Amino acid sequence: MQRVLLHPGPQQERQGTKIQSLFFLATLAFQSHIYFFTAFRETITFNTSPPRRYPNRLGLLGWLGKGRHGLERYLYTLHRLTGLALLGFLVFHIFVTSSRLLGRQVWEPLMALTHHPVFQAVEFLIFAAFAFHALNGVRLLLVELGGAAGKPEEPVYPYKSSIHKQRPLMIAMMVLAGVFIVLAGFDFFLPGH
Amino acid sequence: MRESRYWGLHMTSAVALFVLLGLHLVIMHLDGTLALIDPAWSKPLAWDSVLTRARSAFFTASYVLMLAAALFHGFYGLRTMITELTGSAAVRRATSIAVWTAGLALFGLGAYAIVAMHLRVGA
Repeated sequence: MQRVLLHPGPQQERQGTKIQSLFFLATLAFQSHIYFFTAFRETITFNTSPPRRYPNRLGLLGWLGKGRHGLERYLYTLHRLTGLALLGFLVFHIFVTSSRLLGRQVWEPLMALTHHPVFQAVEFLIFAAFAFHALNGVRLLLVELGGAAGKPEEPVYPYKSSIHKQRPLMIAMMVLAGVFIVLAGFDFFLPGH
Repeated sequence: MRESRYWGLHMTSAVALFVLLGLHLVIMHLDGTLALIDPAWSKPLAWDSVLTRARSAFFTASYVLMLAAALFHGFYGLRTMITELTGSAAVRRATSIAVWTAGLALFGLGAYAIVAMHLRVGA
C-alpha cells in the first residue's frame, strides 16, 4: 500500500458535503474582519525583547515536578527519595550487622531490640522503598537502553507518543512492586511471624 | 575515571543488586512465605542461622559483592544528586572526596566483619 499523505486524518475530516463547505465559506466571510485586525495588531506589537530564558537548573523545586510532566516524573522524585532512604539505612545496617563480631551475647539483645513495633514499621518502609526502587529501576534501565520506548517511526496520524508506549511497562512494574509490598506486609505484621 | 565509566558501573551494580539484594530481602523478610517451603528458613535472624550463613562460602562471597555494589550504587547516586543541585566545582570535588572516603571506610568495616566471621566459624 502506498502512503501518499503524511497526515490523512485531518484531510479526511475536512471532506464534507457541499452545504458544509458553503457554510464554511460564509463563516469565513463574516469573520474576516477579525482575522484582519488580529494580523494588524500583531504587526504593531512585534516582540523585540530578547527571548525569555528558562532555567534548566531547577534545584530541589524540580523534584516537585515543576511544569507539565507525566506520572513518570513523580516516580523520578520517589526514586531519589527512596534511594536516599536506602542509603541511610545501608550505613546503619552495616554498623548493626558488624556487631556479630562481638558474639552471641551482643547479637541476641540487639536483634530483640529490632522486634520493637517502631523498628518493624521502619523496616517495612525500607522493604517497600526497596521494592519500588528495584522495580522502577528495571523500568529505567529498559527505557535507558532503548528497549521500552519503541523504535522511531514516521509521524502518521493518529500519533503515538513514546510516553504512551512506555506507560504499560510503568504500570506493570508498579503493580509488581505493590504485590511484593503486600506480601511483605503479611510477613511483617501478621502474628506468628 | 571517566564519568561514563561511573555511570556504566552504576547500571551494572543496579543489575547485581536487583539479584543479590532481592534474594537478601526475600530471605530476611519474606521468612513467613519461605517457611511454607522449608521450615529451616523461618528464623533468619537467630544466632544459629547467622552462623550457618557465615560458614557458607556462597553467602560470604555474595555479602562482599553485595556490600561493594550497594555502597557504590548508593554513594554514586548521592553524588549525582549533590552534583545536580550545586553548580560549584569546589562543592563537586569535596562531594567526590567525601563520598569515596565514606564508601571505602564502610566497605572496610563491612568486609572485615563478613570475612572475619567466615574465618572464625569455618575454621
